[in-house]
Amino acid sequence: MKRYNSWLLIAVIWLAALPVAMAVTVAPILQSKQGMVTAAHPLAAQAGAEILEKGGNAVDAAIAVSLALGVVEPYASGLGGEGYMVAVMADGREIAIDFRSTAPALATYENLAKAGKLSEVRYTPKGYCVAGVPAGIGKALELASLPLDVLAAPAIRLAEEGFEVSETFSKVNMDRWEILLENAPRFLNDDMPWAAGETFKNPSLAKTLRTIAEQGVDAFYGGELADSLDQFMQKNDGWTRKSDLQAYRAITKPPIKGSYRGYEISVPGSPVGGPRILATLNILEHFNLAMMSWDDPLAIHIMQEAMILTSLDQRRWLGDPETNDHIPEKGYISKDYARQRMMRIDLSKASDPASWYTDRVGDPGAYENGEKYVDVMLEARQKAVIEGQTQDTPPSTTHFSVVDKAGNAVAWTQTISSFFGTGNMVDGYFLNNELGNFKSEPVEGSPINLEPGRRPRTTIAPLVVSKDGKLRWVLGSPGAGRIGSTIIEILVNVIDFDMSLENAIRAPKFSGYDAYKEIQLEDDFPPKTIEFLLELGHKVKRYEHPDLYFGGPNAIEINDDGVLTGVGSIRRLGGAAAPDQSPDQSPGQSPE
Amino acid sequence: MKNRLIQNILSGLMLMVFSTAGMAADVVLTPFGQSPDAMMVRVVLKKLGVEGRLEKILQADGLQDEKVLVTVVAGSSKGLGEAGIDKDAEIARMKSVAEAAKAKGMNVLVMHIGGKGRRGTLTDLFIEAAIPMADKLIVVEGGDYDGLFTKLVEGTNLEILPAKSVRETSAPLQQVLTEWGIL
Repeated sequence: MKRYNSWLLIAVIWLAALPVAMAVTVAPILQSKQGMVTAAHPLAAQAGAEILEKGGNAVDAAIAVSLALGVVEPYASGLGGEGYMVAVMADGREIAIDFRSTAPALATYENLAKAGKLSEVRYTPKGYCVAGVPAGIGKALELASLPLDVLAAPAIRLAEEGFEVSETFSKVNMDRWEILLENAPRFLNDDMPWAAGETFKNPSLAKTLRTIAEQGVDAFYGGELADSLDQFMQKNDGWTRKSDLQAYRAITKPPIKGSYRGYEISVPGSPVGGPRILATLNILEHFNLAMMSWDDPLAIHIMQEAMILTSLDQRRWLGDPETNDHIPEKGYISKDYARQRMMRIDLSKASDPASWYTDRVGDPGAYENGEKYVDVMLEARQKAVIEGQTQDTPPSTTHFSVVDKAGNAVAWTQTISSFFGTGNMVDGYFLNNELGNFKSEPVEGSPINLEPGRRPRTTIAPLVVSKDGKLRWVLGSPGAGRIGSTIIEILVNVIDFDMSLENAIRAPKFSGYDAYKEIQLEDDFPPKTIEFLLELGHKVKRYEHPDLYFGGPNAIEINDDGVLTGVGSIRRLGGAAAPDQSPDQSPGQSPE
Repeated sequence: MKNRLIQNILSGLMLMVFSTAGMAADVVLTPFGQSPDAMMVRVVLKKLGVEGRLEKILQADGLQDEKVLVTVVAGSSKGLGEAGIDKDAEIARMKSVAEAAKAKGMNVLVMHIGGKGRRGTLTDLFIEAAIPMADKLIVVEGGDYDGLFTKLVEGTNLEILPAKSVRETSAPLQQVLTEWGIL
């Protein structure tokens, strides 16, 4: 079998050997003992490393990266977006911040019926849900040690002074050019997409960031920025009002926990993709994948089938716990439920997509109170539930990871849904189009029916992996419907197939999601692997390898000797950055 | 008398407008690979005062009295899917359109405007099919990062007219269209 263990680390820089004062180093892959930031854009990673060098902790750096990404990747995230972060602090605290967007009060099925279909409002101001990024930053500041104006400074500098447009920026801009020409022509370069190498500035966003840095994040939800958005919405027939902004709250809660072969995993709970990562790994734990290899068709088949089962359950049962009476999340991630689910995998053939929604949706609710699979299965036949709508899943979003020298870790994923969101820009930032993640029509019992104040369900899953109480990996990925599969495959690659982090990320990825009726894969698997998958009855759709479609994970590995290895997203030309020397003041301190 | 004067002025203005519009009918655009890039070229042409007719799935019998066929190469799986055609059908379509255009005495301009980001297996397939059709070739920087275009034009009379960005394709476009008597 083809091996990925033979890949050479490219551009690895061993920072301890580089005595450069008061600077940070940026590279695609980096090693350091001084702290590490990985992000989808090297300039954003650099912004975080600069904060670490100033003595900031991992949360400080994460806030700086979040803001900087909104400048250098305006198409993937920003103030008009949302997300989720998981922090595992060196003092043992574990915190998740849910800053998912919420549907505004006017976003009802009644109003939608007057406006058209959900897909028709997707690239209009109506497609916007109330943004959570500024509020998330506000909550994260409670764990930070530096003031917001210091943390916002790199982002403001980038927006004011400009930066060189990357290949990814240019490509995404070309892909969404038509919508931008229609909705935000002033973003374009004389009506044309920005080309790689050109200098992009965003003075309007710089002004907005400066307002937030000076007045705090409340300026976004109640001050002049809220007035500005309200005016834009009223003028352009949107649904969000200042009152929606004033009502918005980010939510702090503990991450949910799971395990895989002795590794402890901290992920965000519903309505995002964390529970599905755990549910899938629970199933995979029953198969001895370490006896196989990354390109063994049987391993791919097992993983694919497991991921389909968990995505079917996710689609049927999981949603916003704040606005649904009950979400059977505990049952969904229980080890006993996984035992029942693993029995549905036929090792000799692929499941038929035609039967997925009628015959393969499970009933995790039966495991909510720690029930054993033997009892559940003896008592009742598996319940089949019909629900077949799939969601459009663009390869947008962005993820970054931070670890500081003291061992605080942050996994943070943020998004504006589609690249450039609705395509509408207000005060220099793009408005998300998360509304498209709700059901287009009400379905009885669905946890993602459109409801004012509800957070839509998405697939993002920033996570932190530890072993025996020690940090091991911090990771996450963009990639919409491929986020779960890409993260699961990276974890299996490092844990079962013993790959280095770089190789685990670089190795070809395949989808595993019920929205796709075939295995979508990066075309670097051996021909015999593909042939065997076809033999098992899978349909195969090939993509180039590597392809941005499969996400852009930015991850950090923490070794026992304290060495941090940062791997910037290979599929998105991301970067890793680290301070060149230990900060003057001790990092990692955060207020109690 | 006064009315006649106004009428004459208006007629003159109309003539000027229609002479510009007459030029517009001189260029027809179609994507090769169903990416939206051809629409960008249409905007660049508009800034040059040329109103190109854009037809996404132009067929040989859809050619009118244009003098120039502009085809913008970039493969888009999404675009092909929306158009309901596969890559082989797309190549066959373009070959047939280019042959018909040549038979009508039209000039064929091939453009690749997406740089390195718009290269890949699918696009490369279309590029290889497009080069033999070209009377002129404009490539935006990065598109020839691996020398594919250079290799394909070797031994032909075709030269690569470079541009730094889509926006800056206006210069070679102006040069080509002037040479062909459109501008």
